[in-house]
Formats: sequence, structure tokens, C-alpha cells
Amino acid sequence: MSQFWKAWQKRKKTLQEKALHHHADRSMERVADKELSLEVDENIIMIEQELGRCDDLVVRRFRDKRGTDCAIVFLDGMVDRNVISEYIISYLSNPQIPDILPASNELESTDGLRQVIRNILSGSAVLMRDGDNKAYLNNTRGWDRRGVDEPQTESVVRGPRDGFCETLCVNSALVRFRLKDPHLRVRHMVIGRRTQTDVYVMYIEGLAYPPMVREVLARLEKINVDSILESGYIEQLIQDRRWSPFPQLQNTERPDKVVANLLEGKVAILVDGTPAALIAPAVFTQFYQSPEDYYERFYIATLLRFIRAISITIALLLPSLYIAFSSFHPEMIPSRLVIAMAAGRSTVPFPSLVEALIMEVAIEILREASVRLPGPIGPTIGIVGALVVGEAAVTAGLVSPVMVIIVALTTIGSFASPSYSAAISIRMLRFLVMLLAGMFGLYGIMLFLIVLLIHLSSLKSFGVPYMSPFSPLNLKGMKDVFIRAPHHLLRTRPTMFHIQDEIRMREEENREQAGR
Amino acid sequence: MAKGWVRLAVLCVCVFLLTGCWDRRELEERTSVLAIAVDMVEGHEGLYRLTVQIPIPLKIAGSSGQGGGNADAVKIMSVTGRTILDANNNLQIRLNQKLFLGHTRVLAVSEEVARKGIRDIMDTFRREPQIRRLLWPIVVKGEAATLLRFKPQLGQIPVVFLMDLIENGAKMGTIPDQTLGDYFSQTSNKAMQPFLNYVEASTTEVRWRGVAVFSDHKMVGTLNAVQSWSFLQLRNEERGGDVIIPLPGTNNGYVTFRPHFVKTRLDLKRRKNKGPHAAMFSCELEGDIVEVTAVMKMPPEEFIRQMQRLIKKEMDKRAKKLFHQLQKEYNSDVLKLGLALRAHHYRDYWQKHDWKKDFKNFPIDVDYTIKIRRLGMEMQ
Amino acid sequence: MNRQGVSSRQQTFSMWQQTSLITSTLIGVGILTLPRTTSAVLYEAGWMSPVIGSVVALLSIWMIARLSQRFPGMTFVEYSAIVWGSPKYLRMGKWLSLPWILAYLSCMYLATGIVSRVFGEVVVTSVLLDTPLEVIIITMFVLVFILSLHDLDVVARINELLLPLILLPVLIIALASFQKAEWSNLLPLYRASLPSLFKGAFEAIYAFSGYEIMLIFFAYAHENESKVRAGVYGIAITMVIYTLIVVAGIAGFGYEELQRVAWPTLELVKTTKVPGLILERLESAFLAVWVTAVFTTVANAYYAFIYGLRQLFNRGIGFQRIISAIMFVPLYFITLWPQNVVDIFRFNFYFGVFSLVINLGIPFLYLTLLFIRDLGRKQKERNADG
Repeated sequence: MSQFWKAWQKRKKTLQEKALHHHADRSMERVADKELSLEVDENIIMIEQELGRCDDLVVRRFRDKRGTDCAIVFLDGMVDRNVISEYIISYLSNPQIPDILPASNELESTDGLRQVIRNILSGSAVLMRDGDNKAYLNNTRGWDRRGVDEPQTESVVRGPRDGFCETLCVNSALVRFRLKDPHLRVRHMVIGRRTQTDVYVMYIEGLAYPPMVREVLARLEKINVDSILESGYIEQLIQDRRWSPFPQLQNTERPDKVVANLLEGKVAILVDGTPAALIAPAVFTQFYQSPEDYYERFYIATLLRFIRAISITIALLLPSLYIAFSSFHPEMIPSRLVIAMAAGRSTVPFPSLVEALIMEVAIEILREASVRLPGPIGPTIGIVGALVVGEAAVTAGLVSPVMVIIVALTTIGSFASPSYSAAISIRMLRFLVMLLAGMFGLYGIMLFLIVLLIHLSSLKSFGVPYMSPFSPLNLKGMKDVFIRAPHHLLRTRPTMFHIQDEIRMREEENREQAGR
Repeated sequence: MAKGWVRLAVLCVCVFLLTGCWDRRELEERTSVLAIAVDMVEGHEGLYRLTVQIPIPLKIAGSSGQGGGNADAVKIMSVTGRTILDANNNLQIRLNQKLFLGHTRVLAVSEEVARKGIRDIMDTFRREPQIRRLLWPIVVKGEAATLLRFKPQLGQIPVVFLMDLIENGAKMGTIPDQTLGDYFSQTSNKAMQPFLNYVEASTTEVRWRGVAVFSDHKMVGTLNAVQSWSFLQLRNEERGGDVIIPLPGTNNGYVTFRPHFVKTRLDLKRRKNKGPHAAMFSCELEGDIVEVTAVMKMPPEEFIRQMQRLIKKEMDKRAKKLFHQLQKEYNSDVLKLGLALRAHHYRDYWQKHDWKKDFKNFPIDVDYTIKIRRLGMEMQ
Repeated sequence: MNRQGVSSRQQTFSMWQQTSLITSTLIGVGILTLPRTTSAVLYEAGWMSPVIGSVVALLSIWMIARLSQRFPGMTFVEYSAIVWGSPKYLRMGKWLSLPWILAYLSCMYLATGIVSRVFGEVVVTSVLLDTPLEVIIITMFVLVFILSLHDLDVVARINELLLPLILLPVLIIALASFQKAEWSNLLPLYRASLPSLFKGAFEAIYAFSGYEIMLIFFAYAHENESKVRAGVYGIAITMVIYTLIVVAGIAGFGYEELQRVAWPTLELVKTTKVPGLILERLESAFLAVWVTAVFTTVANAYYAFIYGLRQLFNRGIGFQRIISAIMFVPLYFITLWPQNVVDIFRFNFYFGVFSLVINLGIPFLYLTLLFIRDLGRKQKERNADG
């Protein structure tokens, strides 16, 4: 027994070590790390060799005012052509201007081929001159990008309308614009062997718990994957529990949400090419909290939080409660209602579990379809599907009228959660509860809830228990969980993220306010 | 944890596929019994006739598009058996779906059965987990099944009509909300006796006739509506119905007093700290004059004083009659006097006396205080 | 110590977590029968027995906490060796303490079995009438097994999360049933004899058993000083809940009726109408929520058992996972041993005596042993001085 045990442990350890020491070849490393030569032509040939057949590679040769042969190499479409023609070519050719280097706002020089290739690929224009073994890398990045737009998934009634876009520098600017704190730290990383995606890790020094920041950075560094196309890749690669159905990092398109979270001592991860920023660590409360809560007065915000909490419960449990009540505990339904329900069900040929499953699957199909459908048609199909099909199904006696109400409430309930990725896990778990409710009734639902709670309380996101501040109980943190206490009472930041500087609002100022 | 989830999923699937769901029984796969009536079978000693009322969902208007209308919304079935469960089983073999007693709201017992004793009937209901403790056992004058058969024009399902009748009565304080659970605890309790509602039913109507008084599972008599109200005032502090009294000195003049609030205190004092124990109910009725059918020519102050005196006299008289009936005729302590004696005079009375024998001669007195608050919308 | 052992050392329980561990372990199947068992001997004054019983429980938990305070960071299994031997003669201590540890562990193990059986019995007789008892027991075991896959801190957190779910329904039911209560049922205040008072208290002591899990769990307390306080709070909360439910039962039914019903608290739920609620007949809902109470009782006891075994064999979390799966097999058969409800209640009674002996005896024995050895050491020191 114990020998087997030891052998097993040993095997596990060696496997882990193997994984650790395995260095995958980075595709950039395959580029020959040669030095540039003095000849422009030779350099161009080297570049073309490395990039292979690249028809969008533009090589523009010209002669500057001193008569030196120059060449500019860039990728078509990734650069701002105006900048190149005006500030590089015209500038250098113009005899009235004495400068021999272009008037670029970001100019670096290098003599390594690898550096050159990397910069060409990320949109720089590379200037090379005869007799100079250095290449000048001009930041001329400028491709057509989507502007700052209102986020589609997290719209609020009150609050800023700008959302992240696909460009990293714009996104970080949106955060900076709101947070002019000199302690805001931005760490740049490149992840993805082939995509070479830029990633910014943002945190506020003095607020964020340093070990947590280190942990985030370490996990990001450990990522060894060929591509990062969306922040979801990163989210799934660095989360604590890979098999959990719950999102362990929060994602948002809202810069104000990112700033608010940074101020609570969390870490934000911005990824180039996607509007979804990641926030770590995430806790369970994200399921029903929205940045809007802090913009509206606290009564309303508290009420809204309750409503969201209820709607999540409905989205998770309502169909299974229906199953449990109607096929296990009909004595719990009021007598008057039970007769009406029995009448509605009398033509239904399936047990209520199957009935509920059919309807829930149907509504999920409708929902998925209306997401894919082109803009104006989507809602129409949704209404047609929900109303017409539902009505027809009831008339045909395939489902009971109560079931239609339940399905509708469930679907609406799942939309009330401010976080899409959180709500989607609820939507998924709903089917599991329905199965259990179909087996054991209310007892089954309770079994599920207990397992769910065990799982939730075993989850940790970057060292922060997922269920905090409920457990471990943090009474101070409870002010901002179900209720949203008025701002003057939220003097301290939540401590569950190991905040370094607790004070959000100084007491003296507050007293002044109260006296007024 | 990954393994945990996988294991859980595998287990769920296995349980689901291998065994199915033992207790799953859809709504339409249960025959809900809304009411049960128990009668004697004439000429067959020891046989019960069980009548049940089963709603027919499709016939009930408003439940779904089709059906509705005037057709019978309920099915009445009668079976006989030696015990309740025997009858129940006989009924089951005549039905396509399983009988479901979870929605049984009324248990009607005929007076004949009640007088014979209902301990053996109640045992079935005590053991059956589906039975509600909140269902209403009712003693029916004559045949109990008539209560199930009657057709209320105001509602489709007789039992729902009956439920509303009792619920409304309980809310107004005129009908006691005496449930099966109450009956159980009262029969178990050595210091009191149970009572049940007593109704009379015909083919179209049902009427509350007061309460049936029990003694050790056996019905011993009834109290009529007026006495039941006095009884309710003294026992449950419920207001009871309107008090209608003929006005003295007038021709066919009546005054109606509607009590709104009742406060009852029970004093078990011993005269001069020794003597025998005696019970004294002090009952304060607070209410309005709602009807005066004769012209009274007197100032309001005088009128109120006179009315208070009149009502007090009437209430005292009713209570005395109630005590007389309970003690001398029925010998059943439904007033919970014994409980109070046991609670407050355990050592000096309860241990030394056999309450079952002594109740008959226990001195009980009552003192009503009438407080007329308003005269309705009139000033006189 | 192995790797896992060290890592779990760092996980600490806050005082509230310890309190909820105690309370949620205590409140279990006992609450369903408590009004009946207590009023069987004490009649109207049945509510006294949880009050008196809590005193015994308090004494016992105080001893357990004191014991744990002397060995901070060590569980019962670990410090037993030191108590019976000494740091020098650890091996001897291990062997000497083995019977006590085994008695304690088997107590935990049996508790798991009995509680799950009673639970299954209630569910099968009142809600899921056609479901086999075995299935209910197995599902409960599965839940417990899932918990035992996790580390200690999860146990503390889950107890903390579930505690409101355990307390609230009982509180609501107790308070709602006061509407129809017959207060005279609670009088006369006292009429039973003194011996029967103790007998009644014993019934409640059984309902209070379960806190012995703290022999293990106190080791991971946040602060050494909070242990006694956590114990007192945990017992006090339970006492209030128990007293409330017994008062509600007696006032609602009268003690005679209580003797006749198998699960008085459940009957209380049946008679209770929560005003304004859409649903009727709350007993299924109550039982469903009550699953959490049983789960915490069973899971905590089983976890203590498994954790004790793990420490006894000096192994890690992987061992814990495997052994917890294996130990369910004999437990399953133990659970199905009693033939019927009457048998179960008899077993329950014997087990109550056994656990009382363990709960009071072990801490007392250990404390006395330590006391004597302290005396001995002082004597020696004095001798050395003199």
C-alpha cells in the first residue's frame, strides 16, 4: 500500500519536473540572431529571407539629402503611411532640415536582426542606411481600429459610456485617464509564441498585496502557448482551479470597473486585441455586483443587488423547484393551484423533468440563435420563438402553461446578472440541478447546493477565498456585499484582498461633511 | 477536485440510468383526494363507508382552455371497509392512479360515527405521513357524505367552498379553526377534551351549526351557534358572532351588538385561601352597537349604559347555560379548565383530585364586562 | 511531519469558524426528537434539560479547550503521545495512548453511522416514501466523501456558510409556532423528581454530543485564547436553539402529545403556518434544509475521524482521500445494522452513554494526567533545587 503510494508520488513529481524544464522553442527564437551589415541591400535580403514570401512587406528605397542610400521596410496596413512619407522620407530628403534621423516620436536603434524582424511584425517602420549597421525603428503603428465605444455586454443606465477597444495602448490610456495615481504600475509582457501578444499588468503599488502581484506575474510568465487571441486564453490558463465551472477572474469591458477594482487592491490584466480586461482575484460577489451600484444612491443600489441575487437564484433553481414540487411534493403547492396545475399538465405526455428539460433546451437554442442572428432580426426571432412556439406548445398540450412561465422567468433571471461569464456558469449548472431534482426532489436540490457550496468554499482566486467575505466571515467586508452601505460608511477598503492601505476616506473630512 | 466532479457526474448518471426515480409521481399521476367522509354502513356493524371527493382538473373552469362550464367538477366515490385503510385500498383498486392524501383538507365524520368513537379512525390519520395536521375534521349531522355531495353554486369545488367558509369564519372569529393537529393534542392531553366543528349539509347548502363536544374520542353532544360563540369567547378569546337581543319594553325591537375585541382572564381562586377551588372567567367584550330596530328615546349616555347592562345579562345567561350543558349534560372539559388547574394548582389541586370525575361539580362562574365603543355611523 | 501536514498547519480557524464548527456539529438529528425525549422524563419542564445538559457540555468543552491550549497547533492524536509518554518517550506514549485514540476515533465513526441512519429514516418515513433507505444513506456518504477530499480550511468555511441555513429554519419554525402555543402547557414549572431531572438532562446531553470533534479541530485555532470562548459560544447558541424548540414543542402540543409522535419537531413544522407564504406544508422544505444540519454533523465527525486516522498514520491528504473512501464500506453496513426505528433509538441511547464517557472521560483523564505530571516535575525541580 505505502510502496504503491510512494511510487505514485514519485511519478507525479517527475512528471511535474519534466513539464517545468521543458522549454518549448519560441518561434521568434528561430530567427537567426545575426548582426546587421553595413549594406542596405544585404540587410533587406536578410529580412526577406526571414520573413519568407511576404507580399505585404513594403521596401521603399530613397536617397536622403546627403545622398546616402536608405530604405524603409514596413508591413503594409500596419503603419501610418502619412507619418512615413511626411516625417521620414520628406523629412530626411529635405535639404533644409539638418537632421539625419527621422522626426519620429519613438525612435530606437538596433543592430540585431531579430529585433528588426520583431518590430516590423508589430508595425514599426525600419529605416536602414548604407554604411550604417544600425537599423532605426520608428514607431509608426497605425492601423484602422475600432474607436472607443459603449460596451455591449455591460451597459449601465448611469455611468461612463466608454468601453475598452481592441487596442492595448488606448485601453491603458482609458485607465490612466481615470486614475492619475503615480503609484499605478504597468508591467508589459509578451505572451504567445506566435501571436506575440502584448499584455499589460496593472496594479497600484501600496494597495495591491505584493505577493499576489508576484503570483499574477509568475503565472503569466509560466504561460507557454503559441497564441493568445483573447483574454479568455489567459484567464483559463492562469486560474487556480481549471476544472471549476466558475470564473475565477473577472472580465470587464468597462474602464471604470477596472479602476474601481484597482483601487481595491486587485490586479488588472489588459490584453492587446481584445476589449475584455481581466481582474484578479475574483470572488463570488461579482455575480451580482455592478459598477453602477456605486453611482446610484445606496438604497437603490442595495435594492438592485437584492434583485440581482434573487434573479440568480431563480435562474439556478426555479425549474428544479418546479420539478421537485410538481412531481415530488405536490402537497406543498396550495390546493387551489394544484388543481389548476394538474389540469394544465393532464395532456402533457412527459414527466415534468423531461418537460422542463425540453423547454430549457429550447430556450437556450433560441438564445444562442438570437446572438448569432444579424442585429435587427435577432430580437424578432427571439419574440417569435418564445411567444409563438411557447403558445403553440401549450395549445398543443406539449407543455403546461406553468412551465412556460417558469422558463421565461428563468431566462430573464439569468440576464439580470451583470457579469455574463458568471451568469453562463449558472445557466449551465441549472441543468445539473434539474436532473438531481428529478431524482430526489427537494432533497436532490439540497444535495446539489451542498456540493456547490463545498466547491465554492474550496475555490480560491489568487489566494483569496472565493466565498469571502461570507466565509471566512468578514463583518467589515459585509457592508459592501448584499447591501451597499452609503459611501460615508465605506471608509475603508475591503480587507479580504489583503489590502495594504485600508483608508479610503479620511475621517476628518467625513465629519465635516456630516456637520454640514 | 477535477476528480471529484468527474466522480459526481459519473455517480449522477449511474443513479439516474440504473434506478430511476423512486418517488417521482407527476401531478396527473396522483388522484388527489380533497375530502374524506366517514359514515356507518346501515345494518353492518363494524363497517365503515368511506366517501372521497376527487377534483376533475379538466372540468374546472379557468384551469385550461377546454372544459369548464356547469359539468360536475368533482367525482364522488364511496367504498366500504372494515377500517379506514381497508376502505382506502378498496377504493384504490377502482382507480387508475395512486390515491394522494396530501391535499385532503376536510375530514367529515357523521354524527353516528362520532358518537360511537373515532379513536380507531384517527389512528390511521396519525400514522399516515401524507395527511396534513392542518386539515379540518368536521362532524356532520346526518350522513357525512352529503357534505361532499353538496353543490355550491358559488364555487365549483365543494371542498374549496367549505375551506373558504371555515377560513373566513375563523378570520371573523365566528367559527373555530379547529384542525386535526389540535384535535390530536387535545385528545392526548389529560387535562382537556377536544371539540370539533359541527355542520349540517343538504344537497345545495352547508351550514355551520356549532361545535360537537367530545369526551375521550366520543362525541357527547353539541353546542349550538350562540353557545359556541360564548364558548369561543371564553376559551379562545375569539369574538364570536353578533349578539342579538330583544329590547325590553318594545314590540319586536332588537338590538345587535357586534363584539370586536375579547379579553378573557381565568382566575382559579380558592376562597379565603383554603376552601374549594373555583373558576372565574372574566371576559371583557369590546364592540359596537350595529343595529337597533326600535326608537329609543333617551340620551346616548343612558342608552349605552342600558345596553351594556342588557348585553351583560344576556351574555352571563348564555355562559351559565354553556357551563351547565358542559358540566351536567356532557361532562366534558373543552374549556381547558383542567389545563389551567394543572398548570397553576398542580400540587394543591391536581394531584389530589380526579379531574374526570370532579369536573362535573367544579364551580365555574363568569363575569362579563361589556364596553360599547361606537354606535355605528349613527349617534344614537 | 509530511508536506501536507505542514501546509495545513498554516490554515487557521477564526473564532467564528470554530463556533460554527461546534454549533453546526451539535445541531443535527437530535433536534427532531429532542422535544419528545426531554419531555418524556421532565413533562412540562422538558426545556430544562437542554439548559442543564449544556452545563455538562460546557464543562467538557472547557476541558477540551484547556487541553488544546496546552498544546497549541497539535491535535488530540498528536499530543496524546506526549501526554502519555513525554517528548523523550514518544514511542511509549504512542502505544499507551492508542486505546484512547482508538476509542475516540471509533466514537466519531459510530456517530457518523448513527446520525446518517436516523437521517435516512426520517427522510424515508416522511418525505421520500418509496426511495430506498440505502440510497439516502449513500447520497449522504457521497456528500461527506466530497468534503473529505478537501483540506481542513474548506471544512471550516463550509460550516461557516451553512450555519445560518441550519439556525434560521429552526428559529423561524419555533417562533412561528408560538402563534398557536398553549402556554399553560409549560406549567407547572417543575414537578418531576431530582433523579428524573438528571435523567432528562442526560437526554439532552446526547443531543449536545458532537463537540468532541474539537479535540482535533481546536488545533488549528487562530488564537490560542479564543478556544474557550468559541466553545462557550458554540454551546450557548445550540442551547438557545434547543431550548426554543423544546419550548415550542411543549407549548404547541403538550407533553402527552409529544410522547406519541415519532418526530415532534417535524410535526411542529406541519402545524405551523408561516403567514404570507405561498407554499403550504413546509415539512418537505424543512427536511430539505435540515439536510445541511445533518450534513455538517456527519461530515464534521467523519472528517475528524479521517483526519485523526491520517495523523495516526502520519500521512498526507492523498491518504486521507483514499482511506475516507475505504472507510465508508464498513460504515455502510454499520449504518444498516439496526432493524427498525425502535432499535435505532435504543442504539442511539447506548451510543449516547458511550460518547458521554468519551467526552467527559478523555479530557478529564488527560488533564489529571498532566496535572499529576506537572506536580511530579515541580517536585523534581524542588528536589533539584534543594
